[in-house]
Amino acid sequence: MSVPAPAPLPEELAPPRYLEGEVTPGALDDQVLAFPERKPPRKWFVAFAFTAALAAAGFGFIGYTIATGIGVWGNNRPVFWAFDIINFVFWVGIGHAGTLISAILFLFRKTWRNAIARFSEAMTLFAVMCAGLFPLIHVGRPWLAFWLFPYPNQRALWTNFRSPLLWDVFAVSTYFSVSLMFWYLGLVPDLASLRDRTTHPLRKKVYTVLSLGWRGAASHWVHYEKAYLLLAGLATGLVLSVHSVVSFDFAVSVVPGWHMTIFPPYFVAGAIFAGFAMVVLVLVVVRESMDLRNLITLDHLEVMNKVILGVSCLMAYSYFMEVFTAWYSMNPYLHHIFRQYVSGTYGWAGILTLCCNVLAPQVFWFRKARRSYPVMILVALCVTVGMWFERFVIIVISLHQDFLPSAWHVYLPTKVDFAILLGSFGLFFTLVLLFARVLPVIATTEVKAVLPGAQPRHAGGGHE
Amino acid sequence: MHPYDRFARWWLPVGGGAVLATVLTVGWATQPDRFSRAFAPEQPIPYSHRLHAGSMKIPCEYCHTGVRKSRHAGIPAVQTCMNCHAVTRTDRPAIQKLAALARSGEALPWKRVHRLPDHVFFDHRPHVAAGIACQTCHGEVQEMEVVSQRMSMRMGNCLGCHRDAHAALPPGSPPRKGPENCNACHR
Amino acid sequence: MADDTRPQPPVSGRRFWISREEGPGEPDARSAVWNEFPEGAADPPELPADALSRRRFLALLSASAALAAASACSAPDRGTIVPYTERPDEVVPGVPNFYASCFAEGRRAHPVLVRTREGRPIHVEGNDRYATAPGKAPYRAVADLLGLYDPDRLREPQNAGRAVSVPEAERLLAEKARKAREQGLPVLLFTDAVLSPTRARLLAELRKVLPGLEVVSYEPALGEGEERVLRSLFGEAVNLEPRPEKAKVILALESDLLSGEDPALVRAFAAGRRPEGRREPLARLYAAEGRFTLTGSRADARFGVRTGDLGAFALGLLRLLVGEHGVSLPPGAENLPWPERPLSSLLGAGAGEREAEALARDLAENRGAALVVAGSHLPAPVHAAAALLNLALGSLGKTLGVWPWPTAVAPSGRGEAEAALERAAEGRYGLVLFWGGNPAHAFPGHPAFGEPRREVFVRIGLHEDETAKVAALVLPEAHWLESWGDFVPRPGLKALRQPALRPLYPAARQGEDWLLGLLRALGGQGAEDYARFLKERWRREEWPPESPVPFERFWAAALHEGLVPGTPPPVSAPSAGALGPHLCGASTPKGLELVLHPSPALYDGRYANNGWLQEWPDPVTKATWDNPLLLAPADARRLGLKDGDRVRVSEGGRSLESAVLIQPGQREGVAALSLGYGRQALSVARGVGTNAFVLLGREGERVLRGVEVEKIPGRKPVPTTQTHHRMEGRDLVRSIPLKEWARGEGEKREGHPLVSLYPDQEFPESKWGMVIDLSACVGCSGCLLACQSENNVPVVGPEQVLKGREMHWIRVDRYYEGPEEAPRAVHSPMLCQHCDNAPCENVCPVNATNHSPDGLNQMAYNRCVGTRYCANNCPYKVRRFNFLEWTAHKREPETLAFNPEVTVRPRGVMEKCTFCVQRIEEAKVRARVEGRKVADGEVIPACAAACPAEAIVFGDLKDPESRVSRLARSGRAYKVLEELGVRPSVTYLAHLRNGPEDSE
Repeated sequence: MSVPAPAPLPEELAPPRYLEGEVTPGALDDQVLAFPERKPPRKWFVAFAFTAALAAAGFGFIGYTIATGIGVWGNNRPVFWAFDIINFVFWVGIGHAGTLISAILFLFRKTWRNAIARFSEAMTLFAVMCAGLFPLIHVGRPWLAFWLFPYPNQRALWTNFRSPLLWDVFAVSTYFSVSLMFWYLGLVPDLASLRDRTTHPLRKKVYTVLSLGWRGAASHWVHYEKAYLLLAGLATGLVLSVHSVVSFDFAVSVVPGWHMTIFPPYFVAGAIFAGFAMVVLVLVVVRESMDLRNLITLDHLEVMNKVILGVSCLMAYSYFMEVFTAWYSMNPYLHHIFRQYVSGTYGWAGILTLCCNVLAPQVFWFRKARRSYPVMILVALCVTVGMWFERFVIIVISLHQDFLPSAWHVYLPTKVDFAILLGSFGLFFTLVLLFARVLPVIATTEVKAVLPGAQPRHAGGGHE
Repeated sequence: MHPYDRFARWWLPVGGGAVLATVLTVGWATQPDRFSRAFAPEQPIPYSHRLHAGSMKIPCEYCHTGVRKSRHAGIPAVQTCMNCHAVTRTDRPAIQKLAALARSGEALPWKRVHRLPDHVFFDHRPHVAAGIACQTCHGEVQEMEVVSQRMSMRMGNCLGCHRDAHAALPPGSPPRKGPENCNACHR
Repeated sequence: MADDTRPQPPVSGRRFWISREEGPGEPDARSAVWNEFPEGAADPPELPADALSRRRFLALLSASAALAAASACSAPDRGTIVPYTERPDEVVPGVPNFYASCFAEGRRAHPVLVRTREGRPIHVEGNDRYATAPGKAPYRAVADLLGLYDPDRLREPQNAGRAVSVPEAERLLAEKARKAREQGLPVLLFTDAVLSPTRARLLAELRKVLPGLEVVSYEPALGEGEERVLRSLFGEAVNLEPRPEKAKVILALESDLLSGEDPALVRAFAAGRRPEGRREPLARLYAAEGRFTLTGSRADARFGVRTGDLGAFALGLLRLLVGEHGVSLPPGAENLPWPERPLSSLLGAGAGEREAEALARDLAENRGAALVVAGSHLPAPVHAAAALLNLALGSLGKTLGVWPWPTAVAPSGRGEAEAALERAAEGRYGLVLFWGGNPAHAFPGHPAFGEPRREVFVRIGLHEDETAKVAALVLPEAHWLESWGDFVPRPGLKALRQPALRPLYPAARQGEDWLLGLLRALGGQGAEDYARFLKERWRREEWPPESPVPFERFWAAALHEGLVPGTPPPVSAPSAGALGPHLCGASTPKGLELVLHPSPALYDGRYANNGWLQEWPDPVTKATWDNPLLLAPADARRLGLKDGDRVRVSEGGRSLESAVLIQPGQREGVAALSLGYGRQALSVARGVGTNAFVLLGREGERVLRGVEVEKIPGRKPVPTTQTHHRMEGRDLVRSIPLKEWARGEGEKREGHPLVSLYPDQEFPESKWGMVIDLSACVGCSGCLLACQSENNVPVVGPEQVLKGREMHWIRVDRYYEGPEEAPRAVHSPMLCQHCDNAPCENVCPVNATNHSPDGLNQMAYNRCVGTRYCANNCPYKVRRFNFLEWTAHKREPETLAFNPEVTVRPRGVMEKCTFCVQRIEEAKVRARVEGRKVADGEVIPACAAACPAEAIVFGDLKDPESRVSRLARSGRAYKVLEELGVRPSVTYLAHLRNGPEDSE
């Protein structure tokens, strides 16, 4: 019997298209894998020069700090932690989206991730690198920071496993190594195809070494898939664990405003929030500058924005819960500090945080907004700023007025603080640019897997 | 197999392993707590502990008087040497040098053999009071022509004994441990 | 290795973490390395270089190792040990020696003990044989240790800017004097108060050979009102000796008698505020003042009275006593006229007429046990009125001692000094000797100091200061710790000053020695040095010839004890009638009045180069490194000024510029400024604060009327160590009204039980703890300086203090309660609480801070990497971080001031109060060697030792009978932030309020 031709759906209801136009495996390779071959456009060099300069300046000031002592920062008594730890938490947060997209969505078989997974993973790595920088340079005697690692030594001394900072060391380093393996494993097939494509002798050598002798044999694929799945599972756990552990730095302490049981989930949500915003920012740029419109479609961005909207609501809930807990605790110190969040010397920071993280993303209720560059860029920027200030609120405001009023003191950052912050951004984007230049920014093998016809289908297309 | 592949699979790991091994070995072999030992600088006066403490059996505390009164055992004042050497062996050039110092009141800068970092506050008194022999830490000084350091005298060294002192304590003394808290040595 | 006596590896499971050390090791490093790779090493070097065999590989490895070994083996030089060539009998390296000496300042002298190590003073504390304040030293005496090692000290004599030898300098001095004598010109000796009988004798000797010798003995910090009044009352120069211990009611008329400058007063007062039982009556302290002094902040009732009105207040009070309480005026004063003004018109906010009534009643009821003290900066009328009150209340001889000025040289007023200087400016003197003090700073812009290096000016001083700059001949003076001398600290009591070390700089000699040289050069009779001169005078005048003790023994004992008791000569009876003229001088204030008072930190400026005192927070304002103009809140509002604004203060053509600090509790219409700042010389002192001597008039009037204050552009934030002054309703510093205490209501404890997730700490032998009695503590902050000196606490400078990075291990929190016009202030010393469940300990990733078996929260600096997490997690914020390198740049002589028993902390590490662990360890070692337990009271931390109020008690909490345990069980005991469950080892005893309304 004949099935009546389905009526054309209105655009809103059409299934999202994660591929524009006709994409064949070959075309895909030519489009993506060709980048490393080509000489990059001028604007790439301009951007690179800028970010590299920023990074260099940042490292210059780090050197200055290490030579002079962190007294060159604004940190004081009682605000012993400030920009250093803010930036650390901020960057670790950014790092979350990548693994979330590549691992968790992979396990959920969300195929729309395939096109953007590689990129967001790379961003994860770079963000974690930036993050890792800060705990190292923020200590008073960085040259002794290796004492944080438990190793048998002639002093017969041992690290203190009760200290959340130590947990951090493990959590972050594990997270970094696993993400690295995960990302690199995914790269191997593409590296192999780069090796096979390239004609340049030097590149051939390099890619050969990097591709670890991948030949694309069926056995290779079997192992590859297994390993990838396992690592995805591993990474998933870490996505949730890392930022929980980071949040322990605060939750485990006695400082009013830090000592909060809600922190672990709240920090993870915030991390994902900030991470997605950053991914959107970079994706937009990549999509346009490397004309990958057909592979990274507006629908991709829209899904991302939907996630942002969702997490934003989650954040709103967290904020509310936090305030409720504080109020319900009947703890005068807590009451005082929560008043300080929105009034007092740094009240503006609290307000700003709320506006950026809770109000701004609400525009994404509208489809137009979700699909418009200006809006999504603006919102992404808002979220990035907002999340940075959220950490400012938590760390600086909580510290500057704790138990004994006699010890209260306002905090003022110095030029060096800002220089190092900018420097970390410089480092991040420098790495992003380099990555976009020398490695395939899209996992071709994974995209090929979702090309039309790549998936085996039952006749009549029973279950999708 | 592609030569590059072979390189990546075999030579890379082996080379890396070799480098790592070298670094670790050298690092281990040259660590200070091995090399702080056996330090025996040449002294301004060729004083022989073997002669004085060994054959002549002058008790350590005859010269190192501080050991029961103070944190520091102390180096004898030049006058202490002159107690005997005002009359004995006055023909030796070294002794004459000593006498000259004693007369002029100039200082006699001995070379340091045992040095603890500034943040370590070792106290001789309780160790001596517990009956621990000088040789336990300083080696068989009475057999040394030139004094040399016999123990690394680094933290693990101290703790090793503090955590298990029976070897150091005189036989028959009650089982006892040394303090292990930071303040015992660091202030 | 059979006879290897080194410890063998233990068999415990912990072995792994013990370093390789316990294993038998080869003493020789080179062989040790070779033995690691026997077979590799066995390979002869000329092995055919074939493919990389494993053996070959190992051989290469070990070779490289051996090379590194060899290089590391030529170990770096470890420096030298230099023994004494001839060891002084009393010195055992590593063991401190104590010398009794005497500290003198202004009109006070105080016996002290100087602790030296290997011959260098490292700490100054009180002389425990000094009955009035055993073991207590004035805080500036403690701090002046740094003055001894001041790198700015003069090292050799200078003539016209060129360094000259000592004999040359003596020759020049004598020449100048001879010239003056030949020309028949008078010679001026401009010096500070002469408290030393022997010094006075020396001056007398000098006068014999220099007939024209004029001596001006002037203390710029002190007012002259008291001086004048006492002169006319007793007909001679006398000293007053308040005895708070004998007083039940004390009225302080803007007198800072509890400042700690005289620890004896604080001790006596505190003794009356530390009740053992609940029914004991406490001494009651009233204060009437315009400024907000430390004493006022501790008063049970405080009257805000304009400083200019204090005279009228006292007289009004007297009238009240006479009129309504049957107090009779002293003979001779029955019909003295004085201006009448009703009390009510004088009182400001806060305590009012009811309290005034209560005050009158208390005074009347406690005749013979009442005491009225007036601030030394106040004008004559106030002192006259105070004297009348004391006479009427019969305080004289009971709560108030009187004894004659100890020396023949009576203090001079500013008028005389000014006149002398003018004559000097006009060149009337053949020679002007400036010895002590710093007149060029105390008389800013005086014509005498117009031109540099005047031929006839000679300076004897410690530094090349403002005065040295105007003198042709500059003679380096020895520090008091390097000098001899004798003083009269209390009626009849003689104290000796002996040097604790030879002068750091051979050319530096104490002033008396320079004068002795001059004396001999001019043909006078004098011993060849002052030590002998002093001894001779004592042999002749102090040693009772009839005594069986030979003089040498007497002298040795005197030096050892530092004190020789005696009886003071009597004082003629007071003639109250003579007070008349002074009383009428009482003037009504007009406009804004400015009170100039000596700085609690720098006194008259002589300590301005002392970093410890510059950074020592003023006990009331908490300001450091500046002397801001203190304004009452109302006045600040009226003038539109806020903290840190800059103002120009002008009065009668003289003016200065200063920063503003608003002082709650200061009476409206009263401004205050402290003297001693604004020095123009010396590396630390230069340019800190503003020189208030500019405003000092010819008569030395310290309460200026009708002062203009105008705002000028720019801001200069005042570095204060406390930026928030209210407790925000938190139960931090507790005080109980006496009646509740008497009724048996104790300190309210936290209701709920405090549970901990961690197992309780265990303390096998002892658990150190501290009790701080807030009822005794007056907030004088002397503990800060003692701690700083004992624990090598660095100075960070004003910029860093502004950033809140000062390093003091102990601070004194000061909070205001109530309206800002008339607040009640509370003081509470805050130091590391050594919590049993210390929040700092569990967050340190490297275990740098952890708990000791005797209950200390120990901090291993050398393990600290500086994450600062511990400090964040410290609820008391008593941890201090070395944000920058504070000490590494220091060189001798500064480094000599360090306590060798305490690590000097580098940049990047955390530090904090250790309960003076070096003293604890010393006591424990001594006890262990002597085979006993540490006795109660054997360990006394520096703060407790220095506390003049004896408010800090330290000891073993495990011993239920120790003093600290007994106090910790008191009904007033509480712990700060007890509710956090951190279990501090420091217990506070709530302050007892004893105002008229606080007790029935």
